[in-house]
Amino acid sequence: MGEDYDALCDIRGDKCPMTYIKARITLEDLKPQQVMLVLIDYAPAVDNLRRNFTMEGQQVYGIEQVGPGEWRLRVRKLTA
Amino acid sequence: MTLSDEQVLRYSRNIVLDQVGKRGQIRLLGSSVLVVGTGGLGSPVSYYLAAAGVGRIGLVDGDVVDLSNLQRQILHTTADLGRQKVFSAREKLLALNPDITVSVYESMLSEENADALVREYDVVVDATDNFAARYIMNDACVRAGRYMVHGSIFRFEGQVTVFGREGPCYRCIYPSVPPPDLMPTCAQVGVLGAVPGVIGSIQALEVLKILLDAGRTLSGRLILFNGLSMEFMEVEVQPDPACACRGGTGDAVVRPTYNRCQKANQG
Repeated sequence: MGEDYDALCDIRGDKCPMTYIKARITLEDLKPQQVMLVLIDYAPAVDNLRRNFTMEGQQVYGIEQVGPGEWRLRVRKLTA
Repeated sequence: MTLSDEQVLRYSRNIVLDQVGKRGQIRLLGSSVLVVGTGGLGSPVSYYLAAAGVGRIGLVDGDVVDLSNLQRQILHTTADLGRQKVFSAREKLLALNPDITVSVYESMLSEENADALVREYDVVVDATDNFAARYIMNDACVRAGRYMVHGSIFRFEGQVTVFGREGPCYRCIYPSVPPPDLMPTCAQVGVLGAVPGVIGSIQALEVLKILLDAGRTLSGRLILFNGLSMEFMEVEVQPDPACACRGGTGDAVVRPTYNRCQKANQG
């Protein structure tokens, strides 16, 4: 898989709600259609981020578990 | 400018709001607010502004902390009795948030210092308890093109609005100082501390909205609060074309009036 993202947000070590807040700060700097890759090691954050960003009108995709207790997902910025 | 990890954590509940975000928080950190008065209104106003991360707060007050202040002026403590209020206030604001700077002006606002002070800040807060300072502040804000976030309290009642710029100024609504016999007497100076707490909190919120360019401010609207019946009433207020702030001659208040009402307030 290629490194198809514009910004990396490594929130491993963070718990909710800081996971979402840090991801949101990273996304804020992106332009529409740009993609943020998020690295997560706090299980509840995967679903929280998916729900929160979807509610905001962003596209969340590519959710995958990449190891024991580690996930990644991508957020494409659709709305400013 | 970017935010440190510590700042992200400290201001996380601001940043997560759509109307703030990282950009808004950086804007707050780069903003400055002059709070005139560090008493019943100035305490909650400056404390919330410091907490929110307004980068530079100026405090103007020539008074010292008195025991009778403490039932409402929540920035000051019993240990501060006799201290200059601005120093007592600065200590509390910096203890809350060392991320900001607090400049203190150990004097009352006067016609001599008002213009220079007001021009140094983005927004001005009227947290005073007297008409003289309010007119001086209003005129300096009109000249400098600054918003003046006004609050005042009387017994169980309070009022709050945003004066200046596109909206009316204080003189549009109150063209001249009330005559001394309408000034509160010593027997009428009672107030429950939570009343300035309510009004001061609204002032702080209005300042933050102005700085963030968020929502709809109270410019052109005056909120009248009655704490005893717990009612908020809203009155529309408009600029007066005859007012000096709109190029009219206005009802100019001459200097002796300031002195007279200052004396009346000390009664």
